[in-house]
Amino acid sequence: MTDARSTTYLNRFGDIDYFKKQTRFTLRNCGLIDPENIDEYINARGYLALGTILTDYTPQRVIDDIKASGLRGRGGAGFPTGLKWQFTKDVTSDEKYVVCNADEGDPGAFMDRSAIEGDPHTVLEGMTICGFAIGASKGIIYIRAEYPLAIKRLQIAIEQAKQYNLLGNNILGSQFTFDIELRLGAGAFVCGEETALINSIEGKRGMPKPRPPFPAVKGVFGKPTVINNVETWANVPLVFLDGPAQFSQYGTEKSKGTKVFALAGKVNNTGLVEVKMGTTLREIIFDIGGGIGNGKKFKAAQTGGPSGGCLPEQYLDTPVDYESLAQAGSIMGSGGLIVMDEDTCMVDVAKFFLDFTQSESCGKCTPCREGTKRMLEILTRITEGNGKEGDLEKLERLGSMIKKSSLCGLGKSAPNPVLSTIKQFRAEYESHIYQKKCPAKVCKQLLTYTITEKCIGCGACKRACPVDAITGDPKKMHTIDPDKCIQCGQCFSTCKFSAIERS
Amino acid sequence: MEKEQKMINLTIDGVKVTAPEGTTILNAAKQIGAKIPTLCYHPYLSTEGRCRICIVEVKGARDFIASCAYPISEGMEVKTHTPEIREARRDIVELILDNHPDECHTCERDSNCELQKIAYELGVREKLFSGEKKHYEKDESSHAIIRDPDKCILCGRCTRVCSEIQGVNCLSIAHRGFHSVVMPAFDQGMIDSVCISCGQCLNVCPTAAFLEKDYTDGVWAALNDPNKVTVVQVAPAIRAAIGEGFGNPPGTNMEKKIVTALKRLGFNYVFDGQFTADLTIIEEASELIHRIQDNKKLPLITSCSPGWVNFVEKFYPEMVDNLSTCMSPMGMMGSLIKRYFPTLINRDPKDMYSVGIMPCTAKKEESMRPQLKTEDGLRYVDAVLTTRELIWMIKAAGIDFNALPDTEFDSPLGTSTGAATIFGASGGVMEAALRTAHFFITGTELPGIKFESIRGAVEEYKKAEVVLNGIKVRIAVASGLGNAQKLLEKVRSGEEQYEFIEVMACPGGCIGGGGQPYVGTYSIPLDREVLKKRASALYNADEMMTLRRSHENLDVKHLYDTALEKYGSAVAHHWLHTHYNHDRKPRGVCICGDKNYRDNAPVSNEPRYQELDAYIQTIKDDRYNYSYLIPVMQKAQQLFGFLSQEVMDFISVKMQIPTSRIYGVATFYHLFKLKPKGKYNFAVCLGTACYVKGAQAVITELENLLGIKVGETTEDGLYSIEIMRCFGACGLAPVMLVNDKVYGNVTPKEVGKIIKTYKAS
Repeated sequence: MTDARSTTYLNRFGDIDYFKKQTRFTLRNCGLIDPENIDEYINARGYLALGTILTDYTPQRVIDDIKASGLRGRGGAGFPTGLKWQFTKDVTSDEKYVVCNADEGDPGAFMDRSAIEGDPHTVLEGMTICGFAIGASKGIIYIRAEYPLAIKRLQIAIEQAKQYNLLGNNILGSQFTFDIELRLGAGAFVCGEETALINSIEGKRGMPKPRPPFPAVKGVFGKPTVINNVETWANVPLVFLDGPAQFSQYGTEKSKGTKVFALAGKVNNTGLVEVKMGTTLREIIFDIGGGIGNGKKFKAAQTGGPSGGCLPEQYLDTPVDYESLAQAGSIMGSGGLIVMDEDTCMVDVAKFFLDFTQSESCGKCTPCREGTKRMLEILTRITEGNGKEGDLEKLERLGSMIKKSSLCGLGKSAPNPVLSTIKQFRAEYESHIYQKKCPAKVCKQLLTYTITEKCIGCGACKRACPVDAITGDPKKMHTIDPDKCIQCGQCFSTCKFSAIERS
Repeated sequence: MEKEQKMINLTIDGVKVTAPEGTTILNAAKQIGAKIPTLCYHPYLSTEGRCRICIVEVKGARDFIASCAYPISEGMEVKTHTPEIREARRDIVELILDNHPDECHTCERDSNCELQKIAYELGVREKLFSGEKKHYEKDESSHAIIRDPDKCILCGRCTRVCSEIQGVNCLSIAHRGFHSVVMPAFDQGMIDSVCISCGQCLNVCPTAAFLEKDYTDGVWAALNDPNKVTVVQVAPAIRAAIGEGFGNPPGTNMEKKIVTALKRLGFNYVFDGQFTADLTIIEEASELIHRIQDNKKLPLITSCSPGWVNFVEKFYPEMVDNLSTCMSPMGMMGSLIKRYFPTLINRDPKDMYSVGIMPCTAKKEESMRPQLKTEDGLRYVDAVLTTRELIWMIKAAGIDFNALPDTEFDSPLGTSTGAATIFGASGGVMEAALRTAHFFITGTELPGIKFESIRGAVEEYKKAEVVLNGIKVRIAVASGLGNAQKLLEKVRSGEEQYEFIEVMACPGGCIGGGGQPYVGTYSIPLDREVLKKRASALYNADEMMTLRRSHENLDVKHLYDTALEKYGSAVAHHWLHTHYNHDRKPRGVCICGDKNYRDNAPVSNEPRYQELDAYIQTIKDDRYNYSYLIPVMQKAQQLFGFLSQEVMDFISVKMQIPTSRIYGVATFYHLFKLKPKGKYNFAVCLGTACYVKGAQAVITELENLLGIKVGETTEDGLYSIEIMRCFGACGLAPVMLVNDKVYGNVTPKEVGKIIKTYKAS
């Protein structure tokens, strides 16, 4: 086996730089076992945790161990998992539900998809353990319809688990009965929010509801419900395989275990990365990700998707854990990690995320529905050269109001990409507003194209120009009429002699 | 044993408050006189926390808390008006105004608008964030109600009153985000929708997003037409409420001032709708006795409320024959104005212009019914005005209503008994009918005249039994169609049996009608206290009358003697009775629970419908039936490629889910398509990784080459472009999917080549 980059011969999988600094816990089986064969999972200590629990544990002991492990929700907010289970266990009800949130909607995130495709049984096992702990007999996996392979593998896994009596009545001869059903999402980012997800499962528009009541008290069909995301469920068996003490060895004081990131963007190695909590962004991006391609400079790392923020170079040594990232002005989120280089315009990125949240806003509450629209309008005019003095203050005023007043997590976090880029890259914004320049040369309307002396007068640019802004005789230097130019960039990409300058 | 309610101690704005557990911050704050502003909140509707105007600061909470939805807890410290809160509220209200027409001065609700009032109180004096405004066509298709989405602020009160109080489920919020709109299913015009014109949506609307259709122009014209004899009738409930429009407290009886005002406006004859209320009672009491004697078409159900009649025709067609064939008092009066009154004044019926002043929007639609016309095609009632429209006319004419002297109604159609007065309140028709039925059956007057047990059936329906000459008559009274529905379901299932049922479409009866004065700005619509006060104005009037039974009305007697012969005669039938439509049931089902209808609804032979039906049959979970809606819609889309109205109607019937809900879901989720996609669907991922790697350029190239925009399909039906938010294949960014085939690392230059591989074939 050889590493594509070094061409030296490597003996082990883990010798590849990409894997060296990773700690593959939740992804322990991904790529190593056949996800469509339950026996391979069982061989890799699969369902051992469940078996042990059903034989030796009381429900409370299960919850105590989860609490002791320090496991926190991997969906983004980092709520202590054991506490969530305890709340749900403590509510008396004839019926309870265990829900797996696999509605991975963050643009640029693929942790859940890969985890399920690579190891579906670990999710089923985690959910079943929770069912036992809180006294639920029904599990629901809410998964994006856009993930057909993951759906298929879950279906196979559920079938196989039923055949082995790892799901169904009297699991492994115990008194415990548990079933899991699949529900497909229908394309709405907001359904990743737990109360919206519940509405969606109930056949309604996926709109969030005010909390309290929390799902632990009134969840699916009004019954007490535990909702965790895919990665959290995949962590659950681990807590019991080697004990909570072993689990909590890894990570930082408040963030235990590992975290999976979907590393993507302007980075050499893209893919799923699992690291111990506390690993620095620099290690992830440069040691594991292999740094930035094409000799470009690192500009920012975006974590937490549309709810998160952009962290510039001085934050590269930030350890990834819930508190440190929040302190740096971003969030852990579900694990999207997009790398941006010097060719990325931060105003444009902020606009991209806001455009996303704005179009994904369910429309229920005023701040998110109307406020994100106005923020997007301001950002758009800034990128189009119509920014005005006071625009940044308006963005900040609206942003902080939306954060504090919105109904759900989507709205509360929607301004984050804008607020964090204003904080970290204020000069770039100001350059757009006052100098009408986009330093990264991304915002089309702010670019000017001029033809330099390198021009040999071939006429290719003239032919490419859709608005006849270029004039010039053959074999003589051409010129661009700035009044006619629509900044489409066709001439720039057509010219073979680098004779057109963009600034 | 009732659990003792736990009391919670907290402080609000530094003042100690004690309130029962479960109380919201909003309600607890009222105790100390802290009035937190609200818009979407309504005490009689579910709490949604939409508008966010009621936010407060709670110590220890990171964000603001919506006080309408948040329960108090021990030791909580709440601040209701910090500088931050005031600014946030101001900004929220401005955001609503930024997307609202600047037409206050020409708006029907100017100075009577909750949004306007709140914007003033919170100090929105300039607009900081204005931008694009939504624009939708006004829906003026209905005879009764105008829907103007531009003025809608998406508080959702109308949708909640329509489903939770009225059970009609006509309105719901469709689409999402900035494009959310309140509309009937399939964006149908109100006239084609399941709307029953009750007007409760406009009663609870804080702005002018719903209004009654204005017929005042026609009335002004008639008043100024020397060739017209203008005749107006006033419904019982008007007198109890119109005063509010002139600053009087609810429940001030304005009967005699109304007559003066109408005379001043120029009406030639002012008649009392209560005259025909008495007439209705006489006909209806006779009808009840006949039906009981013949034991057929029981229970007899009242038909004076046109919203209710619409409801039966649309949702309970099998019960249409149970409706009393008596016209409503308005219809009877209109009939007499066109058939009887002209003979008394020697005028041609064609010269008569008949106007009804009604507390009701559905009366506007009722007046258009073909059944309410003479053989010559003359409508019994030419124009119906709501209480509100009359208030406008009085104000426009500069009439100082409160200073007017009293005037009696004109003769001979102007006298009435106490029985007719109470028509305006829920339970009144029943009570009035029993007073007369007793006399008809026994020949003696009822000893106790009042039936207090059936008055004011607002929260739930009420029932009672009376014995008339040894005949047991089981009666029930409901107001609000949600209550009526509960009652009818009991009747349909056979669980409860009745001989006589009174239903009024609006909560509280006509006093709470959709055409009554707005109480929104100073108190809340549907307010029980307001309803009680309006009702008491009518019951007090009844108490004051000497004649309190309809059959004692001497002018009515005279009418029978001179024109109608006797109760239930042929001419009485011709003039005063009507029939109802059996063909108004909508294609989709609206009332849930009719399993018989569901199971017997025909399924087309088309294999796709057969398969969809088979799929629905596999859902045996009656309890959580609803929760399978999205899977069923996904199946339907898989089979049909998109969701047509026909398919959604089918799902509606087979799953017993209102079409408005299905349409709301279909327009919420990206996955559901209401129009067919192209044979080749180019879906470009616009996730973050794809975006930073140039997916936008790929989309632009696709749009250029195919000549369509995102979301569109080429005319030949071959190609369509769609944006997807992350396939989760970020390693291949930018990614494009053509149907099921994945293309990774796509550059704009390759797009043309890819399109070529999908040429027409």
